[in-house]
Amino acid sequence: MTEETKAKIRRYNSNIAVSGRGVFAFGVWTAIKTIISVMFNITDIRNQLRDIPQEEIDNTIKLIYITMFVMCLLVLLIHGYVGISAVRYGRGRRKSKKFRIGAVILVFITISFIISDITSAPKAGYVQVAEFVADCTLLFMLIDMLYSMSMARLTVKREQG
Amino acid sequence: MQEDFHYYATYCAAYFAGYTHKESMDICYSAQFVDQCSRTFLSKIKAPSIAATTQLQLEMMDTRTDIIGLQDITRIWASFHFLPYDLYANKKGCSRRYLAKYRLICKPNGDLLVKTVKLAKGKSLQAVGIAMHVLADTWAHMYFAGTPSLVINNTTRDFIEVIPGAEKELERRVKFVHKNGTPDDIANGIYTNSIFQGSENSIMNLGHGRAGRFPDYSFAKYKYLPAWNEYMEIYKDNQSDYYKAFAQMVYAMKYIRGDIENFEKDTYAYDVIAPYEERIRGIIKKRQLIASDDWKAFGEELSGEKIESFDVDKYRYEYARTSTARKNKTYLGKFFIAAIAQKGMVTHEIFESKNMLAGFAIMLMRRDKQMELIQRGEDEQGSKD
Repeated sequence: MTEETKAKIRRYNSNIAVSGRGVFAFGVWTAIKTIISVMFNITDIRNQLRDIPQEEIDNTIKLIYITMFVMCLLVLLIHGYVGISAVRYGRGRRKSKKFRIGAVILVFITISFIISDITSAPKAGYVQVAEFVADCTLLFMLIDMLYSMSMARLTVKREQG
Repeated sequence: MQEDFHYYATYCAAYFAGYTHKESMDICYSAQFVDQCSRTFLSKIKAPSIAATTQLQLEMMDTRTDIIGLQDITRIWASFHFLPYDLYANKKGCSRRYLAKYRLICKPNGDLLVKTVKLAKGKSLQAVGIAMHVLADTWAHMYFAGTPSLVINNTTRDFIEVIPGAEKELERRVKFVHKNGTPDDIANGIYTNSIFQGSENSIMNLGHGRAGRFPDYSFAKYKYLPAWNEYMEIYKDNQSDYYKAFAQMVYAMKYIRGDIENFEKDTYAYDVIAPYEERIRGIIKKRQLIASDDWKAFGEELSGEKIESFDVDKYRYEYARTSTARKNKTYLGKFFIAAIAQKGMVTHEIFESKNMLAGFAIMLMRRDKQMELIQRGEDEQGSKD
């Protein structure tokens, strides 16, 4: 393998590792954002449920918390799996590429969020704009990760003839 | 490089070049003193702080990293420890700010090295010592820059040491730790380096801090990815480089003494040191943290004289007790003059290349030198007409 090819493959691996760190960080941010938005809005939710018996309100709140917890866990799991696997792959400590499936799923989920951000544009405030930018960034990182993996594989294949 | 090379090996090289024992001692003391002459030392003896040729870790902790602080740091480190190779180098697709730092990368056999050696000709032995320190460091510290810069001086975790094996050389990944007081464990491949700092101008990104003390070990052979090299690996063979540094020092000092007419880049006095090649290469190759004892023994065999250990305070009292009018005649006084000249020359050259990283410098010349240059310019113009 020529030095230029090795340098290219190092560059792609570095991109994969950096993107992986970004995906993981976004997962953590999404989980924190979900928790904060529920905690800040819990009073509003209680107010909206004031017409139903107190016991049912408490049960509904518990259900909301459990749902929030499960969602955060799922978000952390999928982002963590994809992100940490990408970092390990980029550093040469992981051979398996199964995390690509998770990355592709995340791409579709992120695209759907972006579409939803765009369709709600007329009513958008600063928060929605920030979310749109964040989702675009996550999409870019995921695509960059998948692109770098493909290019690294192609580069090796071309070199081997 | 460390004391083993700057002090003892420089003594040996000076002796090979034809200097006497006393002269060689003056030269090698001056070469090693470049690593000790900090502002803290200068303030103790009430010497001019502009003559500082190094900065202590404690000084660097207090240094600002705004433009003024960075210029101050770069002036010292680029002038004495990381002499730039090509101040007019070009790199495609980079900003002017990046290019300014890229041009400060140190490598041997640059134009500035020729100017450094020629600056020492006809000057004091202290100037010779300073020039030899700068020359030697261009070999050890190559591929790093004497300015704090993450994008130039950073390395990755892919640091591989090439160690001698039973039949052939083996490669071993280096484990870096951040324990400054602990000596490097060369047997197990555990070395100290500076902590990663994401800030571009952090002092942790000055020089070869991210590579630890590897550049200063003569036995070391290693591969790594420097930040500036676009993911291309560099293989550094200190054993070969240190031998060349030694041979070039002999050649440079022969030129300074007047035995050779001109100092050329990429020229070495291999013929002079050939009878001792095996011995010199043996010292360089030996895996040890510091080779002072071996170089000292070699130097004492060469000259038949005793080489006293380096003492940073050796000339301090002479300087402190001498009257102001006569301080320039003392050993340290001559050192300071030579250091200021070297710093001024390098800073001026960096400034002339439209690089502001070392700040401003005005070349002050003696009137007779000025007249000489003007006359030379007029003669050249006359011959063209």
